[in-house]
Amino acid sequence: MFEEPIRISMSLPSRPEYLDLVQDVVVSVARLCGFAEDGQMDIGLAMREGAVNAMKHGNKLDPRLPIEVEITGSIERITMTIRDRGTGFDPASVPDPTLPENILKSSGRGLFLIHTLVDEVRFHPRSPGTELVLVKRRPALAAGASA
Amino acid sequence: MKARFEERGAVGVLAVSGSVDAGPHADAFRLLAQDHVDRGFVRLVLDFKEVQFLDSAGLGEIVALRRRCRERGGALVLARPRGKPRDLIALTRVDELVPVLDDLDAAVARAAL
Repeated sequence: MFEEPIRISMSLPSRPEYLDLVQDVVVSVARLCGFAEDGQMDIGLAMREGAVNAMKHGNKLDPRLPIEVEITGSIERITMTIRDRGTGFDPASVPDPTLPENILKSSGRGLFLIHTLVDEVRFHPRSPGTELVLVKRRPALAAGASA
Repeated sequence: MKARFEERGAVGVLAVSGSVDAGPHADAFRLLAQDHVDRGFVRLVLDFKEVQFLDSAGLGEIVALRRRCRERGGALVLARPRGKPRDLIALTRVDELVPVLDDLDAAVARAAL
């Protein structure tokens, strides 16, 4: 574990084949920042869900449109920023997939999972597109344990 | 994602390993599962003992496969999910749609009902 913060930027075509790459990178950063394995998995899955949303719903899987990913890691937190070039997104329009009227649907669980995996979820409208910022903290750091 | 298929009477057991997630893995899983349903194995057990990673796309594939089995008079049962995949199945309440059993033989018996 190092005390210096890590910052990584990537620009990836909107192809699902790149999801493993972006997930592997953020998991590696989380490991270097001292997150325990369970926290690493949460961070990796949140990144994957955010990236697939940006590729699929933002850029409509157009490989000419990149998603931009920034990862900032420290011993205190991981911040993931994902930007797409789509037509915008209203997170309030996404229904709760655990409600009875939605549970049979085969899609719509990604944003729900993101909210359960990280500590902060923020959407910022851009022109064009949407910026999603996800923050995962190490809550047990003060007690001397990793999360 | 890798998978191994086994017939147990009228029940097909699809033992999956690795990742069931967005992209090529979910596509491969969908095609493979659909192939078995098309061959008449509409009573299916998904053995997730060796699945290490599952995301929302994988969860969606499970829900879609359940629908395809039921439309043809069959059933889908999930066996032995572990760790984070199991947590996600419960968190998203997919376990209210698809029975989840820790014993493979019991899962086969349930799918045969």
